[in-house]
Amino acid sequence: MPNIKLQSSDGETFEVDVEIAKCSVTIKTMLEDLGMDDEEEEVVPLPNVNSAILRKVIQWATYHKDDPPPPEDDDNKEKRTDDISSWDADFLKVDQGTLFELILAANYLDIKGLLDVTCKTVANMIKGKAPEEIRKTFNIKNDFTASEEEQVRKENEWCEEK
Amino acid sequence: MHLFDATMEKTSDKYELIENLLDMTQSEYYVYKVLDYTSRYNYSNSYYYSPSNLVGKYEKYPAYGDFPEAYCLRSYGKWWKKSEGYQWNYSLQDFDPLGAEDYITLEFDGAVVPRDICIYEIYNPGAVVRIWGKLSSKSELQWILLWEGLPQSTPHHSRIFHPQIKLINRLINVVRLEFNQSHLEYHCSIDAVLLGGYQPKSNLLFNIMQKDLVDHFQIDNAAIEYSGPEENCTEGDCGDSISCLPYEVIIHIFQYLDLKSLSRCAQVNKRWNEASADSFLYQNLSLKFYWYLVNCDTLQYFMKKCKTLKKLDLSWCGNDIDGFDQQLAIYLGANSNSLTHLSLGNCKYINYEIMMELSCCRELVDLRLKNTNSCFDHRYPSLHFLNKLVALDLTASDIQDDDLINILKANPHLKHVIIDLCENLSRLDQVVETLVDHNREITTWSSWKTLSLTADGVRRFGQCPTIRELDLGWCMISKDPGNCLSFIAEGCPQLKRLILSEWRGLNDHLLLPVVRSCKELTQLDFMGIKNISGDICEKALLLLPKLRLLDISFCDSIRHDEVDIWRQQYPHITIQRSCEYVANDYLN
Repeated sequence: MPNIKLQSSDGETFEVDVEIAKCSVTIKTMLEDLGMDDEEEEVVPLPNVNSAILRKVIQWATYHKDDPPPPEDDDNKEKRTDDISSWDADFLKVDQGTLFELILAANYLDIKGLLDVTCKTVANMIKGKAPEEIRKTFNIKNDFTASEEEQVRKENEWCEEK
Repeated sequence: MHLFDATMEKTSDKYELIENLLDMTQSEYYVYKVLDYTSRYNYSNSYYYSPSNLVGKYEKYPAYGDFPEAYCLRSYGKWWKKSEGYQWNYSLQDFDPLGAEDYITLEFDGAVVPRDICIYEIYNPGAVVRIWGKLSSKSELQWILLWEGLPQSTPHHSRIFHPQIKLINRLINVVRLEFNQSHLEYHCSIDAVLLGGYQPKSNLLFNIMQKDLVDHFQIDNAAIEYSGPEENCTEGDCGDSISCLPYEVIIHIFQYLDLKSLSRCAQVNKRWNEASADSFLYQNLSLKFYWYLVNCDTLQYFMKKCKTLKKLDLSWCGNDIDGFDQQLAIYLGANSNSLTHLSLGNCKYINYEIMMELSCCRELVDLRLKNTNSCFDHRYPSLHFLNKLVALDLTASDIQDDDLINILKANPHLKHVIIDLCENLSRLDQVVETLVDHNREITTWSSWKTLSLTADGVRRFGQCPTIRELDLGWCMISKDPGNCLSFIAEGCPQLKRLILSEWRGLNDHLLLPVVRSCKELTQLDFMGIKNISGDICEKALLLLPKLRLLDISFCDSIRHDEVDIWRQQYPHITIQRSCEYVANDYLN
């Protein structure tokens, strides 16, 4: 299997099996567009991903290299969030900063499987919480004025048991 | 009968139970009337297995078995979900974690402050997953959840299911049970339901309670309610990093959220408020799971959010709510160009206006009007203006022959037609004739307990080579089937599921062609065919490599020892065999 080199934003180079790297649609397209397939010494620059995150992404992609291709998004697929594998759950036991950086990397590199599982993890952190608990969990500032807050509370009270 | 158990008494003195403060009497009631249900095993005029058997005191308990005097739910196990015509959830984020599939609503003779609810389960117990109480006073939120829990696997004995219910200090006179039967081996039956609690002794107090003037008697339930596990928030975060995610990623996260969580996200801050209102998140709405919260305001709330509604499941919603029918008609009108899936199961308020709007939803491919019983009044607009339907479920509706024939003619791509328990269909042979001529893609046909089919009609299914599921249970109960099954054997090579319950005129010889030819069969139901012998079952087990379910309940000529041997020989095949001794008493 030929390898290629990926370079992170902070200049570190990672040698990776081409097939593993190609789980990123962004890299796959780059290789096809530039005809880099045969050039073994070529380095692919990834200016949006730092080395710590790139290391994690490669770790994830290596573990999942034999997965079947992810199904296209369609309405019939159950959008459940309780189907995260135990390996993925362990892999994603990271601080929030790292989790969001992984999401950004998965989004930029266009790795659907990683984007899905990281977003599901965040969705699970939101589910079942009251607005104030959500703010606390993610350290989000409430920028509503008191009267705005009252208004959105009223608008959304349909689901609250009185 | 003293219903309090020891643990209840211990916990109760910590709370302000109204019976300890006021002069009240203890009362018990059995069911007075069945108000609504989603599942039944028989025609509306039959007493066997009927919902109305829940009225009054238990009759059979503590006996255990398949008794026609009890209420029996139609489905069990996962077999129904394997049908290609099964309605999968329209919006997959909003699924019920307890998987409730059916409910029954029961009225009691008197209103009590509930302390005990006893459910007399006499066959395959363990399916009750929720108990609701309806306040006898008129108030905004009428339904209170009294208990919920996972479906249970229990031994094969009758039992009184008596869970500890939530302590409330208000009067209820209606109870609703929700069931999840998907883990059961066979049908479950309930003999009776008892509501026990306290009633005020004086009329004055009763009126005060009815008018909800006793707010200060609210019990602090916080201490006994289940509180979820504490979320272990990751410490030492670098500020509000979730806000650095681009809008499309926030939407990607939000697509995994249920409607309740989205409504809470809307209240977090301005950015989340905007993102959570994105109409992409509201294309498919399944409100069934929120039936107790849905009212006219809820429909308006979602009308503002979804610009292009594709799928809408309002099953179980809107009954007994003033103006809900008008609101739904407006809602359908606003989405008539985009709606592809619509399910209105058990919606009892369908009227002229709703049918008018429905008949204009020309993009509909999936339409479910199960248990609606007021859709097909001859004065209402007909549905034959629709022409893209693929799935149509009219179980227990008032559809009539000519209406159905026109719908079949107008919808050439129909694959799934479900018309179980349709008592107004009196020319089913003619309906099947139309089907054969116009619906060349038909996959699933289910006319379970819909009478008026004859051997002529059945024969015509032999001209449907695409058919994979045929539920003709009870259709031919007292008719001569002749050799009609040989036409199916010849013409339906893809047949996977064949239900022939109570075709009493069948014998081994008449069944043989199907068993020989339909090699794809996975489910075969011979329930109540009294004349077949073990020979044909042995052939089915031997010749059908994909067979997984064989129902030979009430097949009196098949011996027990034969069944025991087959079960050992074919452990991968579920062989159903319900209590025969009951059959002899009641079904002959």
